[in-house]
Order: sequence, then C-alpha cells, then structure tokens
Amino acid sequence: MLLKLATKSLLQRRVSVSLTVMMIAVSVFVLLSVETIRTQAKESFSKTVSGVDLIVGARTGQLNLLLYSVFYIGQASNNVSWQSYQQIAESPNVAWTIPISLGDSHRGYRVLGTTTDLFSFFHYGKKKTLEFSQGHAFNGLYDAVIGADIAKKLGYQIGTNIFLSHGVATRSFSNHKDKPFTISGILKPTGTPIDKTVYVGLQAISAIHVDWKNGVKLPGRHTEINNDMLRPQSITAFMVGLKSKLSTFSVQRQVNTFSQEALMAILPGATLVQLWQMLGNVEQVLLLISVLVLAGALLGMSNMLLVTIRERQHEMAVLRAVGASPWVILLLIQLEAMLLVSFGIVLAMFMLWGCIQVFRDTLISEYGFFISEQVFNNTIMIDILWILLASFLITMLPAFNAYRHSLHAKLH
Amino acid sequence: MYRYPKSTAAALNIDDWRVKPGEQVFIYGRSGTGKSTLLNLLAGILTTKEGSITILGQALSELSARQRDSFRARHIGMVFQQFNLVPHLSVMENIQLAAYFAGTNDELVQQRCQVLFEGLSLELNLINRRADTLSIGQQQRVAIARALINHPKLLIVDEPTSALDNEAKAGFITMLMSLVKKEQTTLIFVSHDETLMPFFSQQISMADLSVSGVKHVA
Repeated sequence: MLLKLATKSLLQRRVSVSLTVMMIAVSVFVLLSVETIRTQAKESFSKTVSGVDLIVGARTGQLNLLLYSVFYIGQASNNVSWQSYQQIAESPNVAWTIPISLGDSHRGYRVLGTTTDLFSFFHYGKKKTLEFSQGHAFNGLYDAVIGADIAKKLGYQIGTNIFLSHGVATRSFSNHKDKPFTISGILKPTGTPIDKTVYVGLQAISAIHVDWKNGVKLPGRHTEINNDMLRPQSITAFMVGLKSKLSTFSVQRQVNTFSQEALMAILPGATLVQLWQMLGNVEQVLLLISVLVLAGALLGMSNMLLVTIRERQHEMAVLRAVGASPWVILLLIQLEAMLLVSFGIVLAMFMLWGCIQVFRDTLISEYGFFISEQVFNNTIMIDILWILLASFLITMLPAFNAYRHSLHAKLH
Repeated sequence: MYRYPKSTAAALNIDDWRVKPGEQVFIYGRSGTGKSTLLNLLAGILTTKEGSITILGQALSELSARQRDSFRARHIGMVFQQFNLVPHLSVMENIQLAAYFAGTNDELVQQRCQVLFEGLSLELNLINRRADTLSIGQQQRVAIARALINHPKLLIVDEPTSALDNEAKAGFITMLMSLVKKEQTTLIFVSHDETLMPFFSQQISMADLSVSGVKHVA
C-alpha cells in the first residue's frame, strides 16, 4: 500500500521526478564508470602478462617500452636488430625468448609477428598458457593464428583467407593484397588483448614487406621471395624467460650495457607497479570528483523532496487522519527517495552496460584495455549499496522534516 | 485542558463533557473558539496537558502516540471541510488507504463500499476515477464513505458542508444522518452554520463547553 502510495505520488510529479532520476542516473553512471575503469584496468593489465622475467626493447622510457610491447599503446622509438636479439637470446642465463614484431594490422586488429615459442612459453592470467580451440600454430609462411574474439566477430574459420594491412588504422589504404594469409589456428578466449590479435611468423612479416620501402609499396616491383629475404632484419621487442630468477638483475644489466646497440630491459611486474603509482593519484581524484557529483545529485533530490513536502501538507493530513503515524510519513518519503535512487541506478547500469558494449572493442584495440563483459562485479555491487546508504542518510533530512510537520500539524 | 506549545494561555479548557454512544452532537461556535483544537484532541493528534479524554472506554492519555494513531485508524472516522482525499489516488485507493491502516481485509472493504456508496447516492463507477476529477460534493461524500469504511464507533466531522451550496448541503446532511443512524455511529459534527442544528439530537455551543476566562498561566 505504501509502495503504491509512493509510486503514485512520484508519478504525480512526473517532470521534476524524471529530471531528478536523470540527475541521479548520470552521477551514478559517472561513479560506476570510474570504478569500472579503475578496477578492471588493474586486473586487465596484470592479467595480460605473467611469467615473463624481462622485456627487452630499444632504449626508451620504462613505461613506454611496457606499454608498446605488451599493451600496444604508443609506438616503439626504435627497433632491436636481429643480431642483438640473437646474441642476448643465446646468453647462458636465458631459458627462452619470444620476439615481437608490430606494425601491421588486419581490419583494425593488431598483427604480431613472432615465433611458435609464443605458444609454448607465453603465460597470461594465473600462469596459463595459450591453447587452441581449433587448428594449430603457424607452420607455413602465410599461416596465421587468430584470437577468439576475431574469430567470433568476423566469423573466421580454419582455412579462411585474410589480407594484412600496413599500419594500424581500421581502414588502411596500403594493403598487402598480393600476399594472402590462411588461418591455421584459433585460440581459446583469454580475456586479454590476445583475443584481439592476429599472430603470424616473423618470416611472414619480412615476406610481406619485400618490395616495400619506408611504409609504401614500390610500384611495379614484384620480387620472387627467397630464404635470404625472409631473415628478419629487426624486431620491435622481445620477452625473456630466465633459467633462474636470481639472474634477473645481471641479465638486465647485461642488456642495459649492451655495447653494439642502445637497448633496455625492464621487469614487467615492477614497471606495472610504477604505472599504478603514477595512476594512483589520478584515480583518487577521479573517484573524489565522481563522489562529489553523486553527493550533489543526492542533495538535489533531497531538496526536491523537501520542497514538495510543503505542497503536500493536505496529503499528509489525510494520511494522519486515517491513522498513519508520523513514522509512516517518514517512511513514505524514504520510500519515494529509494524508488528515485533505485530507478536512477538501474538507468545508470544500462548506460554503463551500453557504453561498454559500444566502446569495448575500441578500448581493447587502441589501449589494450580489456573490460570483461561481466560489468556488474562485486565492487560495483558494493558501490551500489553505498549509494543506497548515502541516499538513505541524505533523505533523512526531508523525511524527518515531514515527520516533524505531521507530528505537530493539526488536522482541519 | 490543552495549551499550544510556546503559548502560556490555555487554548481550550473543558471542565466535564460526556457524549452517550449513538448520539448525534452538533457543536457550534465562531472561529477561534477552539473547535478545531477539540477535534484534534478527540482524534488523539493532540494530547491534553491536564485532565483526560476517554473515548469508547479507552483513556487516550494512557496510549503511546503510535497506539493513538492505531486507535484512530480503527475506531474513529474523520471528515474535514475539504481536502479529504489524496488527489492523485483513485476513489477506491483512498478508501483502501483507510482500510490499510485499520487492518480491514479487502473483501470486507468491497462489501462495505457497496453499502456505503448506495447510502450516499454515489455511483459505483466513480470508484476508479481519480479523486481530483470528482466534484466537491462527490468528494465530500467519498470522504464520508472513507471515514465509515472501518465501521468506526465515532465519526468526527468538521464543517463538511462549507464548500457546498444550500441544496447540496441539505441533501448531504440528510444522507449523513440516515447513514450514521443505520450504522449506529456516534457523530460529532462541528460547524458555525446554525441552520443545520435541527438535524441533530444534541446541540452544544463551544462557549458553553469551554470554561470561559481560564486563560491564566498554568
């Protein structure tokens, strides 16, 4: 009965009520978005790489190397020559290496040139290796392995032919049309940027760039490919697994003081921590702003309810006359506030869900930031409980005002 | 005796007054003589500072505020000058509201509605209309139905005809009187309109009721 009363009373004030709901929805949306990005960014970034002891690339900032080699954010300042790579890979402390060659794409998805060592040594999440849902690693020169999401989104299967594009734009004008690739394997979903990546052999990367110079195809040239040409000149970066963790710093020093080339080695875990520390303040500020926005919205709602209580003296008097205690009046105002806030929250969740559906792909391909489709995790649910509690407390203001009014109001 | 908060003068001071069950009492007097205060005291919204009020054998001062509210819901029907209904609820919902606080079950409400609507010459098809779409006369009659839905022993009515024209007034009061007689409800009717006096079994003026001149500091 009270719920019906609250609902009807809100419907009676449709315009101001819907504006209030919008206000709450927008502010809750802001808060939940910040929370989602905050929690999922950490999870996503930490999940993307595990079990890699060192990442080696051309000398640049630590963060820059981590971001472009693992998350595909930003650009490499320089490449690593094949000779240097070989030399470090063969040093006694190194157990395995995974070379990475970036710079091409397929319909907006990153293409990563590597070796089949990727499938044996690379780990993500909690030390999980890559597994195939269909097919196998690349054997032939023009074989490609694709992530689960690409297969799903583009409807690719084993045996489908694809073209790679030069550069990373979604619509590239310079396609490697003359060298079609055949899909040899599809990976199982990992919940990391891997799902959105095309893997090919290093030789394939060399092969498609024969007859190319400075990022453009030389017109009219069509050279027959021989083994000599397939030997990679350089790679973007490489990941290193060590035989013993104890040698981490000595290998790092060895790389950093490498005489032939200006190289740098980073510890991915330590660099991630550095990244969080840097983002920590920004995160706090964002959270603070969104909490303040929410507080503003709740105070606005409180004010709206307070104003209407003045207009609703007669209604309150009628309720008192039929036997409602002042507590019922208080409850009624609380109920109205809870309805408003709940409705706002539901709307905000729809907005968040919608935004994630729309921007998910962009976030993964542009920033290597993987938002899981399961948006409404524990953190978000706890936030919602806090929001409800906060609105309950703020609504005590108008609710108690109504209580006092109805306690002393005479009936006439 | 009742005194308003922040006021040193007693607003109302009644020595001793009794009403027998089933009587129809007409209380008249000019504004400012404490009629409204008396009704609020009887309804248990206000409480006496000194002395006591006993309704249906129950001393109101012995009840907590919450118990008084519940007592009012179950045993007392109230009708005011106007604004008796929640405007955005339907007629039926307004009546159900009163039944809800008294704990009357839905089936009984349906039955009572039929009887009361007939007695008040209200068409049953009004029941799903929004209260604020009814005429003032209809609203006042719905208010009576609402007040009587829980079969109260006491009906308190405050100037219910002030917004009605003379013809409607006579019709309204006749209907009310026949209904309370049938229901055997005690009626306390407050008005400044002395032309209504002949309809009632007992008449009393506020001036006679209230002990005059007792306006000293308590």
